[in-house]
Amino acid sequence: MTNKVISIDPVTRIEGHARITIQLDSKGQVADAHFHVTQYRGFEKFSEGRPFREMPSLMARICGICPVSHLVTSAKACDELLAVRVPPTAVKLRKILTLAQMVQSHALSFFYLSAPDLLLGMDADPAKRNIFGIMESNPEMARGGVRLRQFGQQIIELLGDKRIHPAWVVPGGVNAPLTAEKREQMQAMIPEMKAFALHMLEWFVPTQTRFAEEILAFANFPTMYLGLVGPGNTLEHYDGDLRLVDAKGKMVEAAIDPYSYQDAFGEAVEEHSYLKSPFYRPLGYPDGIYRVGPLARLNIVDRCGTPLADEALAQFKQIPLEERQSSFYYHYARLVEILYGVERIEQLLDDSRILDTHVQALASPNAFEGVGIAEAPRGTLLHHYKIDENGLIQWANLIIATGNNNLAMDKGVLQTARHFIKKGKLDDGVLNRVEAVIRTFDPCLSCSTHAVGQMPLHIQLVSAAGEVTDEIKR
Amino acid sequence: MTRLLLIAYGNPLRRDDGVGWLVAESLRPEFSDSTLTIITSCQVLPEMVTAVSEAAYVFFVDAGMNLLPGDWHEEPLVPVLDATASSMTHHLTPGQLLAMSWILYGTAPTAWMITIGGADFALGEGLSPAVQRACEAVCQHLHGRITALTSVQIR
Repeated sequence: MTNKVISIDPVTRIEGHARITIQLDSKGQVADAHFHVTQYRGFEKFSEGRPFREMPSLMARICGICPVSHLVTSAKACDELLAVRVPPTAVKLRKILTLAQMVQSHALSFFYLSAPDLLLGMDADPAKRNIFGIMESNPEMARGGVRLRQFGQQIIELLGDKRIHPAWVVPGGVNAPLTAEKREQMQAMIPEMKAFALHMLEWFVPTQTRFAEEILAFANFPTMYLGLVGPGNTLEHYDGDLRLVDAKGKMVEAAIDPYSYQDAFGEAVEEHSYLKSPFYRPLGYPDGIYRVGPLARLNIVDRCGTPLADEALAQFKQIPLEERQSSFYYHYARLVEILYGVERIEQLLDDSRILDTHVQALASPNAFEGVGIAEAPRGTLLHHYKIDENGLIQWANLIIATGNNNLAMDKGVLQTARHFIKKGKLDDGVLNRVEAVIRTFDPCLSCSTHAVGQMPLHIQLVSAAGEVTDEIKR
Repeated sequence: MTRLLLIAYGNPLRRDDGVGWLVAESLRPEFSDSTLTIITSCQVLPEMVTAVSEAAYVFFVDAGMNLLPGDWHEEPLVPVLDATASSMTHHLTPGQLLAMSWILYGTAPTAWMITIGGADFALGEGLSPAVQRACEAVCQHLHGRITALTSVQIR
């Protein structure tokens, strides 16, 4: 047997466009594998010369999946340029928006993209592995997943007037207060969402034992974890200390100074991908590998800070930490965060000052440089801007949540491929697992490298000489 | 009361692709919210299923590339249980959305698809002249259809 390259192009049921290549040696064993992000947009360069006040709205356009995360993080960087104290009510409203975004995004990832594998099985008929397969097999789950996504989207729309690309968050705060009527509309949805989130946790916790082999082989290796934490090491998505812990839970950095992030993190560029590979600089590349997102956040914190999610987190933490290195547990962590998001939104809506009308601090720029950090659904997101005396962007750097996971995704593909591909044997179930390891991270590639377009799935077996020896299309 | 739903989809920043949105916005002031629910979106999404399941009649409006620019037609829709189009992503066809309503809620409303042939799908806002004329004709047509389907007061 000659050396071969298997190419999965594109990876399906993810946000954006990517390819996986798997190199087989002469015995048909996996020699190497890579995750390639094949799209490129380059928003950092496009930002140059724009007035900084445009940045939140412009940055929201980076992505149709997580526009709110970019909107909020960009506004936080602009707050730094203004050097103002954002009114406390505006902070709470931004938090509600951030959590609503997380709930709807996690619902999309879990119920639309990954549930077909989790409910029907990795080897199920590919024609059934979609939301219609879920509807037929478990209509209650399908209805609930749709309602949960609607819940997040409706809150975003009620606050920002638009479901996608709302412009409500502005430098210094938000541009309109919350009304009592809208608050009531949001509050009315909470009980149903809370009950469904709990129900799904009850279903998934025992269900995931069916996936012992996937748990074993889906990016299951020690890395560091990065995320924001609140007071008392609680779960936090909007603000707080940027914390890095190692695979054993030991503190590496308790609170990375946002303005020193470039000392903490480097961004490596690999020839095989347009997605940069951030790494923890003191450990170098690629040893400075770390993960972000729901699994990272839960592995870092001690508690969530809401009653039901705290119980769910305690149950989650009964899994030994060394076992929680598996990226398969991103799914579990996502459900815990959905529950947390619903509960925390309820708490914030119940706040006695949430209807206050002072929601924006007005100022001219008072600083030439601003860094904003928030937790997007997929992980830590950073925007860094420099402006001139006219308030025009001179330089911008974005470290996108998905990019932070690039090293782990790349390594995870290799581990999964080595585990499931034996003697060059390739079937749809194996192929699906190699894609599914990427889905655990829920990458949003549109945001991390920025491109448009859609391609069919196309897998080729290519000999070392470049000859196509086998081909599958779907 | 008869529940009517209008789902207009397309990209309003791709000129003629946004004709559905303009039809929807023209009709919005003509009917009360309790008579006509209007949803505008870039795509047909699973989240629309709740509104669809609660409606008696649904009109979908979209631009098409298979008609001559400015031509338009209305055709009845039926539920289509074809999962292939959603195997890779999370948007649906109108027929799939109706099927979803049937499976999840046991009801699928009577529905029609109005397609308007587009000429210009480049980046930008506003319609090409032929599509602008078609937009006005479709608005007039839909006004009559909606009025006929309901007995409510027009504002």
